[in-house]
Formats: sequence, structure tokens, C-alpha cells
Amino acid sequence: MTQKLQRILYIEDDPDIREIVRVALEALGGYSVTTFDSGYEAIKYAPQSDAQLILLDVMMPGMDGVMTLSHLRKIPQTSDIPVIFITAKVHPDEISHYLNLGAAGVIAKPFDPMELVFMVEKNWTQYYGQTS
Amino acid sequence: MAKALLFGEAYADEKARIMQPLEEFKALLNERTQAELTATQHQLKQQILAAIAILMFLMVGMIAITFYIRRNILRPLDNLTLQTEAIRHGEYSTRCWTEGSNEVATLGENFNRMAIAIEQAINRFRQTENLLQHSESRLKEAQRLTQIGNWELNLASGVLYWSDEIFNIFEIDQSNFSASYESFLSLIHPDDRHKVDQAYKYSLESKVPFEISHRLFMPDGRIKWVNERCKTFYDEQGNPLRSVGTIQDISERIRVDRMKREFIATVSHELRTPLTAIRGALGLLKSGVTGELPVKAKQFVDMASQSCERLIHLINDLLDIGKIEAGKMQLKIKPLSLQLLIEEAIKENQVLADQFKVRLKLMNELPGIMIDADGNRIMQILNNLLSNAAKFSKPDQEVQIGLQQIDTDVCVWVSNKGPGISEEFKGEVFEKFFQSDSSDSRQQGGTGLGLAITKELVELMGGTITFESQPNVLTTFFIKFPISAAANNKP
Repeated sequence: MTQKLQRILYIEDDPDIREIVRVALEALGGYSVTTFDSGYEAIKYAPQSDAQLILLDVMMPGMDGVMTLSHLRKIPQTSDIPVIFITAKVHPDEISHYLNLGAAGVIAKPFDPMELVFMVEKNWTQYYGQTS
Repeated sequence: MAKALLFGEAYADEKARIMQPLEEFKALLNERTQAELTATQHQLKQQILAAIAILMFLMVGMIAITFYIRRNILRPLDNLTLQTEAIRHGEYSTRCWTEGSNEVATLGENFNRMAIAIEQAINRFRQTENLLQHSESRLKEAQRLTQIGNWELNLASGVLYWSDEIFNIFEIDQSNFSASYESFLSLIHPDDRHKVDQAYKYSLESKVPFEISHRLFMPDGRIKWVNERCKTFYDEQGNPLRSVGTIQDISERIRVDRMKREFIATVSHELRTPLTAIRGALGLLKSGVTGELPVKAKQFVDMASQSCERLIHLINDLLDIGKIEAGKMQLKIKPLSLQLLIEEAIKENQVLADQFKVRLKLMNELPGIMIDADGNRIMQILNNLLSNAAKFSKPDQEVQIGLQQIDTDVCVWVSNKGPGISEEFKGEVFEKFFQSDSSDSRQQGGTGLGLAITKELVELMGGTITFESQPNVLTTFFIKFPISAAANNKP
């Protein structure tokens, strides 16, 4: 049975979007959200967090989302946590590339915050539906 | 005695008596001889004089004849020879003497007539040659400006002609290169060589002219893009005789197109980040997480929200147009039930139609019909047609949607009773940024790209789109797709 989603980790370099997503997920979805502003921070602190789901921006300076995902996969504490990309790069080629990398889903920017919770829940359910 | 006899007077007398007649005879003889001699001398003199006179006469005659020959035959002939030489050296305006009335003069006159005829012919030839050179230089100039070269391949001899511009495009020195089909293939980018060869061979067989764009690989590693058009001529038995074609350097166009696409893609992506924040912030305000908004504030938030949606729609449309123009629109084609898609589209668009108090109504059903298409793109097409029909209807009107099988095709029609499309705009409906009235755009929330994208998408999936419009009476759009052969008539 799919466990209830409660704790989300969000990595995004844009402070405005970071704040909006945090508020939307907390206020509208009732999740507890931890945010990081770069892939480096995520790799450093994610192992200590007890996140059930990671939301990851793709275009970030330095270490991008794709690189961050491959690092997270190598860390034992984070290797099994499902990752959803939230990105403006949503060309069909790019989406299939993210999914091939093992992403649980892709949410396209710009998104409606009212729908964000719905999309996160949908991806979460689908991911556990497939893996169980 | 003898002595006395000999020297005696008698002897002398006797002798004198005997000698006298002899002397007389001798004198007479001398006299007669002298007379005859004188007469003969006289006669001879006269004969000599006569001979001299005749000789003189003959000499004068000879001189006269020589003079005549020289003047009337030799000199004109010399002149004729000179003029022939002159003509041989291209001096066609030269004329020879035509004095006198003998055959040489006639010859001269005829020669002159011939020279005039030659001069006129040469002048005409030169004029034609000038015109030809003129037109050839104009053609060269045109080829240079448009960067289009032409070629001709004689299929019997294998001889390939290239115009100067082709040598320019290929950056090859004409003097040490002989054009052949093989040498042409060797200049094509290795990855495109087979494609071009196949296209030409297929065109030869099918007798259908072809057009292809491909790359050239320059010796210094540069890549050039060219566009080729080719047509082959055949004899009555259908054997190919010669192929003719053009090659145009389109590198600059390709470069500009790529820059334009990259620019649109970059700008669109860059716009998405701030739009994410705007849409997110407005969404949160509307959701009430920041507390209930005053009525006026709520109106402004809605206004901002609608504009934000329009901007997102425009960016998505621009990206779609960019993809379609670049030939990079990827479609996931599979058999789909058209009716199910229409029902889904009606459900989705009824929310928008409600804002205009318009009802979307499916008029009939064809549940068994399947088409090979990309579901998301069919939805995009239907959303576009349904939202347009709803937006341009008057309150309480109905938008009708129907399906109809026509032979091996299925037609979807969407009609409304709105203002429609007047005659003057009918040719531009599927143009980019077309709006029959620019003030409509703001009011109706359109981007002006919807129908252009719709047409491209329909055609990419093998369909056609048409419309009929009687302004303010009935406007109907028809989209037609071939029924899926694989899934045809499955329940």
C-alpha cells in the first residue's frame, strides 16, 4: 500500500519560485517542505533529512538537476527516494531523457500552484503503483 | 723571138684591140651591177622601214594591250585579291573596284554584293552574339546574386555541365576539375551522400522531379547547406536522356533560421521562470492561503491571472511554431478513438464555454472509428477549434460538433453561429498572427497562432482542414483524417 506523503525536499535556485512552491505545498497540501538553493547543498544535507520525495529543478548554475540526481542516487540514504523534476525544459526528448534517468515524474513550469499538489500526489501514487 | 713577140708593139696593139670590148663589157657590167645594187639597196631599205613600222605598230599595240590588261584585269584582280585578304582578316566593310564593264568588273560587283551580304550577316551575328553575351552575363549575375547554379547531365555520354555559380558554391577551380556525377557525390557531406544519391535514382525511376536540402563538406571542414531541384527528360520510349537541375546555397538562410529558433526557444524558456513565479504568486493569492482578498483586489488578481495565462499560451504556441518550422515536432502516433477524444475535449472546453454562456453539443456518434494520430496533438487541435467556436459565439448560442465517415476518411466538423470570416479574410485564416479584427485578440484571449498551428498539426498527421463561413449565420471548420488501416472497424 502506498504510504502517505508527508515530507518533501525541494531544490530550486530561484528564491521566488522556491518560496511559492514551499507555501503551496505546505498550505494547500499540508506537507512539510525543506528547501535548498543548490545541488551542492542538497547532496550535503539530504542524507540527514527524512524526506520521502525530492522535487528538483533542472536548470541550476554549477550543478544542474541531472547531475544532482546522479549524485543523490550514489548516496545510500537518498538512493531510493523518488525524484520529480520541476522544469521549463519540457521538450518531449527532454522528458523522456529525465524519465530514463530514473525520475518519478516531470512537472512543467509554469504550473498552477492549485494543481501542483494534485500533480505531486499523482506522480507519487503512480510511482509507488509501478514499483510495488 | 718569143720575147720580141711578147714585148712588141703588135702585141700591145693586138692586146688593146682584144681587151677593149672586154673593158667595155666590164664597164657595162660594173655599171649594171651598180644600178641593180642601188635598186636592191633601195628596196631593202624600204622593206626594213616597213618592218620597223610594223614592229613599232606591234609594240604600240602590245603596250596598249598590256596597259589595257593591267588597268582592266590585273589591277582589279590584284585589288580583288587584296580585298579577299582583307575579308579573310575580318574587314567586312571593304569594297573592291568595279570600273569598266568587263567580266572582271562584274566579278568585282558580285564580290562587293557578297561582301555586303557577309557584312550584314556578320553584323546580325554580332548583334545576336552581343544579345547572347548580355543575356548570359545577366544570367550569371542573377545566379551570383541568388546563389543558384544550374547543371545538366547527359545520361548517354555521362558529360556533366556546371554553371560558374556551381563552381563558386562548391569552391572549386574550374580549370583543373572535370565535373561528373561521381565527383559531385564526393563533395556532399558523407552523412547526406547516400540520401542524395537515392533521391536522384528514385526520381530517375519514378520520373518525378525532386527537391532536397543537404550539406556539403568543404575541404577546410566547413559545412554548407544547399537546396537541389532536379528534373529528368525522357525519350518516347521512356528512356532517360538528360537531367537538369539547380543548386542553391542556403547556408545563410539555415543559419538565420537556426538563430531564430534558438532565440525563440531561449526566450521562451527564460520567460517561463518569471512566469512560474507570477502564476504561482497569483495562484496562491487566489487560493486564499494569504487570507480572504477584498472584492476589488480579487478582480485585479483575476485580471493579472488571465493575462498571465495568455502569455503562457503565447509562449507555448511560439515554441510549437518553432518546432513545426524546424521539422522537430515529434508525434507519438497510435490508433485512437476519435469520438473519445472529442468527448474529452468537449468536457474540458465546456468550462471555458460556460464563461461565454455557450453550450458545446455533440450531434452524433461514430464510436468505432479509429485514426492513427498523436492523442495530445489531436486534443490541441480540438481545444483550438472548440475554444475558438465558443469564444466567437453569442451568449445562449450552441457550438455543434459532429463526426462523419466519408469513404476511407473521417471528418470532424465544428460549427458556430458567430460573426464568422468575411470574404476578404478567407485566404488568411491559417496565416500566423491572423485575426480578422485586431481588437478581437484582446477581447477573446487569442494569440493569433492557434489556427496556423492547428493546420500544421492536422497536416503533420496526414489530415486536411477546411472551413465554410457565412458571416453571422454559420461558420464550420472541417478536419479530415484517414481512418486507421490497422484498427479499422474494430468495435
